Parts: sequence; C-alpha cells; structure tokens
Amino acid sequence: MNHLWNLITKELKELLTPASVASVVIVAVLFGVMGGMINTETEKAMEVPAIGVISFDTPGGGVKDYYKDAFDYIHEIYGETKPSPYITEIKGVPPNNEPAIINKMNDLGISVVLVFDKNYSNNISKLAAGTGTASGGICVYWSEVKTGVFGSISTAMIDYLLEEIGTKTTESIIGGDYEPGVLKPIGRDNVTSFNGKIYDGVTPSEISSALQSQTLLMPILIMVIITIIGGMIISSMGSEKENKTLETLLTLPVKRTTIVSGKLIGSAIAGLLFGIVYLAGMYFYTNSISMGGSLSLESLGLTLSLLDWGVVAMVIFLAIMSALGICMILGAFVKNYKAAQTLTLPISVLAMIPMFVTMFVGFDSLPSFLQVIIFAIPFSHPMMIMNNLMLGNTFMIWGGLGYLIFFALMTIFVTVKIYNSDILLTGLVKKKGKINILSMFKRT
Amino acid sequence: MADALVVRNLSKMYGDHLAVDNVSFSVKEGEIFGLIGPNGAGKTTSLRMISTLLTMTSGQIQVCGKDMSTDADEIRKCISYLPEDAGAYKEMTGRAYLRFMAAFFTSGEEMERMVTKGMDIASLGDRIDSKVSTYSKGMMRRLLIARAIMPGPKLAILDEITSGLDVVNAFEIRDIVRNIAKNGVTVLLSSHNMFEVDQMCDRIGMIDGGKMILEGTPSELKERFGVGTVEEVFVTAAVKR
Ligand SMILES: Nc1ncnc2c1ncn2[C@@H]1O[C@H](COP(=O)(O)OP(=O)(O)OP(=O)(O)O)[C@@H](O)[C@H]1O
Ligand SMILES: [Mg+2]
Repeated sequence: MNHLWNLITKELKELLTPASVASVVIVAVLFGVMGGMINTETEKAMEVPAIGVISFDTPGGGVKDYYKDAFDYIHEIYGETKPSPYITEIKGVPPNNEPAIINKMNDLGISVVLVFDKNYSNNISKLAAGTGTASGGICVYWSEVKTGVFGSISTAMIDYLLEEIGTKTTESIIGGDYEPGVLKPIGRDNVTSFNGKIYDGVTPSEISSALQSQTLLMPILIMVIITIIGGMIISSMGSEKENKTLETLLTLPVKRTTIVSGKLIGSAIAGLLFGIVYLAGMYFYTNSISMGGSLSLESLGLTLSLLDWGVVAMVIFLAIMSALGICMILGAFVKNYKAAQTLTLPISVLAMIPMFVTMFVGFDSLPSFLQVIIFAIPFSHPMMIMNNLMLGNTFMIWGGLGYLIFFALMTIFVTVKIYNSDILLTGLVKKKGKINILSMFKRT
Repeated sequence: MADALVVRNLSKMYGDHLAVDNVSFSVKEGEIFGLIGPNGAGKTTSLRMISTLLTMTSGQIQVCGKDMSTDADEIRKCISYLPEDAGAYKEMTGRAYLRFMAAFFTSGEEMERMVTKGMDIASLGDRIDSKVSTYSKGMMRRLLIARAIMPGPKLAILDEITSGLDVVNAFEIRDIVRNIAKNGVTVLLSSHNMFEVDQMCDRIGMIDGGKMILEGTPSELKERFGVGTVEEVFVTAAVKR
C-alpha cells in the first residue's frame, strides 16, 4: 500500500499544478455565473408579461358584449382583480392606425397589446347563432423582440392566454360539456414592431428564430476556431521550448517581430482552414435539419451589404489575432508540451461564454455589468457582429471594432516585448518573494 | 590574431540568485575555447548571454568587434548557437530541417550549396530523408552540429557538444569541430568530458559558482597543478574551493 500511496501522491502532485487547478476553478466559477444568468433570464421570460388591451369593438343592437367578457377572462387567467397593474385598458387610440398603437405602447412601456376588432362581438354572436362563420378578431401587437432562445417564451404565454379566452368564450356559449374545437370564436393576427419597422402577420419569436437560423453558425464557428488555434499555438510553443528549437530560432539573424508574425500568421491560416471545414460541416448539418416554415431574413429586409461583409471579415480577423496574441502570451510562460495542455482551457472557456450568451440569452437582456464583461471579451464581437449590422447597433459595431483593434495591437505589442525579454526562456523569476513581470519591459 | 569574442565583467542575476559573477575572458579567431565546471556553475547561462538569448545584468560582450548591448542583431549574423540536448522540428526530415535553417541565411543556388554542405557534415546517408522524430540521439546531434556549422559562422557556440554520444559519434563530432577551427571558425564550447577538452581546446576556462576560477592552455593548467590530466586539474581546483 505504501508504494501505491507513494505513486498516487506523485501523480497528484504532477497533475494538480497551480496552473491546472486555477484554470479548472476559473471554468467552474464561469459556468456558475452563466448558469445564474440563464436562470434569471428563463424566470423573466416565464413571467406573464404586463399587457395592454384596446377595444374597437362596437356590438350592434341587442348583441352580447363579448369583449367585456374577454376582459374579465383575462383578469381571471392572470388571477388578478380589477383594476390590475398588469392589465391596462388603453383608450383614445385611432382605429386602423398601426404606428399610433405602437407609439402608444412605447409611451406606456407595454410590450404586448391585444387589440379587439370592431366586429369582435358581432362575429362571435353570429357564430353562436349559427348565422356566420367569421371569428372574433384579436390582433396581438408586439413592440419588443428578444434575441436568444428564451426570447420566444413570452410568445408562448400570450398563445396560452388567447387559447384560454377562446375556451372560456366557447363555454359561455355552449355550456359545460362540449367537444373541443367545435367552435372557434377567436381569430388571431399579429403585428410586430421591430427595429423601427412594422411587420404584419409576424410574431417576435419568428423574427428571433429567423435571426438565429442565420447567425447561430457564427458563435459556434468562432468558438471552435479559437479553441483549435489556441490549443495549437500554445502546444507548439510548449514543444518548441521542450526541443529548444525556439532557442535556436532566436539566435538566427531574423527579427523578433518576424518570428512572432510567422507564428501568428501560420496559426491563423491553420485556424481558418479548420474553421472553413467546420463551417462546411455546420452548413450541411443545419441545411439537413432545415428550420421548416421559418421566415427568411430577406423577407424582413434584414440583409448585409458588401461593406457590412467587409466589417464582418475584419472583426473575425481581429478576434482571431487577439486570440492568437493571448495564446502567444500564455505560451511564453509554458515550460513544456504537457503544461501547455491545461493552459488551453481558459481560452476555450473565454470563447464559450459569449457563445452561450449570444445563443441563449442575448446580449440585450443582460444586466449592464455582464454586458461590460461580454464586451471586454474580444471573441464576443464576431459572434454578435451579424445581428448588430442587420439591426444597425452602431455603438456595438464601431465600438467593438475599435476595441478589437486596440486589443489585438496590445497583445501583439506584449508578445514582441516578451520575445525580446528573458521571460521566454526563463519564465517568471522570483525576486524577494515577488514575481517581477515588469522586468520584461526593461530591454528593447 | 584579433579577438573574436571578448567578455568583460559579465554577471547575471536570476531574481536574487547570482548565476554568473563577474566573468571575464577572451577568445582569439580560430581558437577553440572550452568552458568547464560543475553542474550549475553558470556555463549555459554564460553561453546564452553570448548567444544574444539572455540579457546581461552587467558587464560587456563583444563578438567580432560588435557590442552586445547595441548590436545584438549584427551579432546574430555571425554566430551559431547549439543548445544542450536540443531537438529539431519532429515533422520535418533532416534534409527539410537543413533547408529550413539555410533559408534564413541565403537563397537560390547558394542555399542549395549550404544544404549540401550541411548534409556532408551530418553524413546521415539515406536517413537524411527520414523524419527527425525517428533519429537516435547521435543522429540528432550530428544533424544539429551540421546545421550550426553549415552557414559558416565566425563564432560557433556549442553547449555540451558530445554529451550522451557513443565513442564513435563523439570522436567524429570532435573531428568536425577541429576541422572548422582549422578553417578559421572560432569555437566556444562547454563540456563535462575532460579528456575531450584536453584534446580539443586551445584554452580552457573553469567556472565554479558563477566565477571564473581558472584560465589557460591545458598544458599550462596541468603544469600549474603538477598533475597529468585536466580531470585532475578540475578535481583539485573544485576541492580547493
Ligand atoms: N531559468 C532560471 N531561473 C532561475 N535560476 C536559473 C535558471 N536557469 C539557471 N538557473 C540557475 O543558474 C545557475 C547556473 O545554471 P546553468 O544552467 O548556467 O549551469 P551550467 O553550468 O550550465 O550547469 P550544467 O553543467 O548542469 O548544465 C544554477 O544555479 C541554476 O540553478
Ligand atoms: Mg548547462
């Protein structure tokens, strides 16, 4: 047993280095934070949204006021008594004027409004009497589109609300027992205001899934490229150190900037090649499980111009350069091939956080301190750039581009500094108990 | 003869640890100078500073008349450094590695000549076209010696040239080094093999605890200590301290 214990402790000492423990802890903390984020976001989305109600209903002589019933049902379904802060009856809006309704909603800060058609009661009573076939029209107006997978949940809550109104109306006409679907008292339509435009017959979840089907690829692709390149460059630094080929290179009559650029560009090309392969794979994958019946972005007028594509390419390029820069810096502290393996973990986590955020939560729904963190991670920008360009989020586009340029230049500057210092060969040397990082800025 | 290498009052601190302490020596053109000393004496650290790899904490280094603190780029043009137990890029063949290295010095036909020269020195036969990852220690060392010598450096800096090699390989490598010195290349080497140092080196410097404690030709040193071999010189000097 003693021998076994001896071997086990040796193994643990080799594996549980400060670097490997630290990177695992970082990953755990980050996942915890992300889990919390996703949780609050789901809870928010599961809440029944505060709604507005507008009635243009004009019941003819002797016709029952079905709108009044529906207004009561809504309170019942919400579990609220009148007047409720969740249910606002909006008056004084001119009929047949979509922009006026949307403006009113934005003024009141209400994101969903049910608009009852002027023939609502008339149609339902004809239906009840068997003298007509048209349903009572309710048009749902939406003034807010959430991105991310959870954006579509509030749509589901409204679907449920309308269905319940229908059921209760049917019950009031036919009485307790009836065959489901025997009567369809409610006819539904949607109007969505999105990005300054009004779309008829479209729900927000259709828009966000259309955006996603086109832009879902980008976060995954960026994450994959960065993880691959990061791993490659750090382990190549590790093996160059182990084999002393780096030492040999550094004594050749070549500029340090050339050596650094060679490594950067070489790995960037390799990373892009891998990226293209993955992109092709993803493309066929998403095509074969095509999102049936979803809207195309073209039909929403959301397309990218040639200039936009230029910006996309630029942002991707800069993000890759930043990733490479970070890896070169990390790689400089790696002593051998084995140590390199654990160091790649923080990079891939750094790429996974913005990927999950853009895919599931959406940048806009984050609290502002998390937005700052996501903005600060250079890999977030290529993941969000297509949406930002389509939606014209000027600050995120140009601010992000500026930040990326700054970040990439900084990492390359620091890398060249490290290549010109002892750190590359000796690692950080302890001086009177303190590690002297600044020593690398001493020499040219 | 002019001095190919001048080292004056060279010191190196790793944090608080003084690894090289006020070392001075010079090597004439075409001379073979051997650094000896116990493990951890500071040989590799000194060689790395002379090879432009590490910064000096204080002192002065001149290679071929050029000053380290201002002209490191120029110095890299006239030196070749071979680290102790170095390797090469594993995915390359020996020939490809020589070609890769030669391309940093010249191009075209001249580069081909340099590669041919390198292959002659390495004399690995057919195996020059095998992957480097399949080489034995001796083959690897021959390849690396060849790559260090083929560009025709003015100063070759070789750390532990023959460590871990069999008798024949070590013999041949010593032969190669003696030959290039005959053709005017200055050689600065470190070794733990006292027989080798005695045979090859025109002059020897012994470092211990970062300090240069002895310097002279092998026969001078043997005479001074009244012993028959450099090994005895080493042991006597080391025990004295
Ligand atoms: N990166 C480093 N950080 C801190 N100290 C170092 C570092 N490299 C070397 N040293 C220390 O500097 C001293 C000199 O080491 P060096 O490698 O130059 O010795 P050496 O003479 O080449 O020994 P050997 O014959 O074993 O190769 C040693 O005490 C060593 O521990
Ligand atoms: Mg050494």
